[in-house]
Amino acid sequence: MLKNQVPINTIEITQKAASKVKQFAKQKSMSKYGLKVSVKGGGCSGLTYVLDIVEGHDEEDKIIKSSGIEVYVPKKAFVFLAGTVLDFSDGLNGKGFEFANPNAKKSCGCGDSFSV
Amino acid sequence: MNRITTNEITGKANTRTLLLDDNGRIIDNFIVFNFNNNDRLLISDSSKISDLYKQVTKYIILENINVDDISYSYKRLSIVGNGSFKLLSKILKSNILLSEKVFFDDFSFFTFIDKSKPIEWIDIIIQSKDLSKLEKIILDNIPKISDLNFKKFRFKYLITILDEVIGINPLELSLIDLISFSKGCYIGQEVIARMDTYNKVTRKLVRLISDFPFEQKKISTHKSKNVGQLISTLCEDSEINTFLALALVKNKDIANSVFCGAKPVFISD
Repeated sequence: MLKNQVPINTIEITQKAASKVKQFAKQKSMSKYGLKVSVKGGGCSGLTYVLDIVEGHDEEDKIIKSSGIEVYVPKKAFVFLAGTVLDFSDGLNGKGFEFANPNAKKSCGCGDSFSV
Repeated sequence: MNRITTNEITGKANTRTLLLDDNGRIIDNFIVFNFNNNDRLLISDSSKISDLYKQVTKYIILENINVDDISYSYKRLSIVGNGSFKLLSKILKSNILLSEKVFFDDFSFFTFIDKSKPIEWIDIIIQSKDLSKLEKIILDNIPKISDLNFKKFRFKYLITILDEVIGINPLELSLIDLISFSKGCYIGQEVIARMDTYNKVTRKLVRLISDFPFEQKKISTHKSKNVGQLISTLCEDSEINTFLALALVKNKDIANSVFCGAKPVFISD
C-alpha cells in the first residue's frame, strides 16, 4: 500500500520499521510487547512524536495491527496521527524512524516535530 | 513549559521565558513561578490573559495537567530603577536578593528579580486581597510613576512591553537572556537557532528622536527604501517638539540617514 493511501482511520508501520521494533524488543528481552505511538505538545513545530516499546496497552488506546506488530495509539493522540505511515531509514544517512503524516502541515528538519 | 518555551525551566528557579510561534515570533513573555512541588504560576506580560491560556492548553495532549485562569486572585507590582534592590530590602527589612518568598506583617508575597532587563527590576506577585497593605508600605517610600513617565523610562533603556512586540523575533529585541541555546527543542527553536548560528539577525532595536510627530510606521532611506518599522512612539516634550520612538532598523542602515514619512529622524545612543 502506498504511503498516501493509508486509510484515515488507522496508522501503518512498514516491514522495515516493524523489524526494527522487533530488534529493539529483543534487545530489551521483551517477548510480549507492542509499539506505543503518541504525540506530546512542544518541540520545534509544536507537536512531537513519541515512540515507546511497551508490554501492554492502556485502556484508552486504539489498538492497530500492522506488519505483525501491535500498535497502541492513545485516543486523544489519534486525531493527530490518523493516516500516518511509520517507516525506518537506516544506513549512513539514515534518520531512524520516520513519520509520513498526512495531518502535518509542516515539520522540523529532523522530522521529530510537526504542526497541524 | 520546557518543551514549548524558550528558556530552561527547571524545578528550582523562577524563570522568565518566551512563547514563540513555529516561525520564531513572540506570542507571549511570562514568568514561570515554582508555586509548589506540582504547580506553576504563570505571570504573563500580556494584557489579554485568555491568549496565554489558549496557547498553553493547546499543547496539552495526554498530560494530566489543569490550567486555571486565576488572574483575578493575584496582582503584580514592579519596582524599577537603579537602587531598587537596596531600597526595597530596606523597606521590607529583608534581603530580597536572598529569598523569593517574603513574609511581612500578616501577609506574604513573591519576588522576581528580572535579570533580562538592563536595569534593576523587581516584580512582586501578591494576592489581590493583600495588595493594598503592600502598596501603602511601598508608596510611603517609593513614588508611583505615571504611565507617561514609565514610557519615557522604558524608552531611555530600550525596554519594550509585550503588546508592542507580538509577532517580532526576540533576537531582534536582544532578548537573548530569555533563550536557552543548550536545551532541547521548543516551539520556534529551529528558526532561532538558525538565525543565531548563521548571524542572520538583520534588524536591531533603536531609539529614534524627531522634531516631528511620527506619522507612519515605516522607516526608510532618503530614496524611500524600507529599512525599518516603528514599535512605539512618545511625545517627550510637546513644548519643544521632541518626539521619541522605539523602532527596529536594519543593522546596515543604522549609520545612515533615515526618515519617517518625509521627515528625518535621528537614531539615538
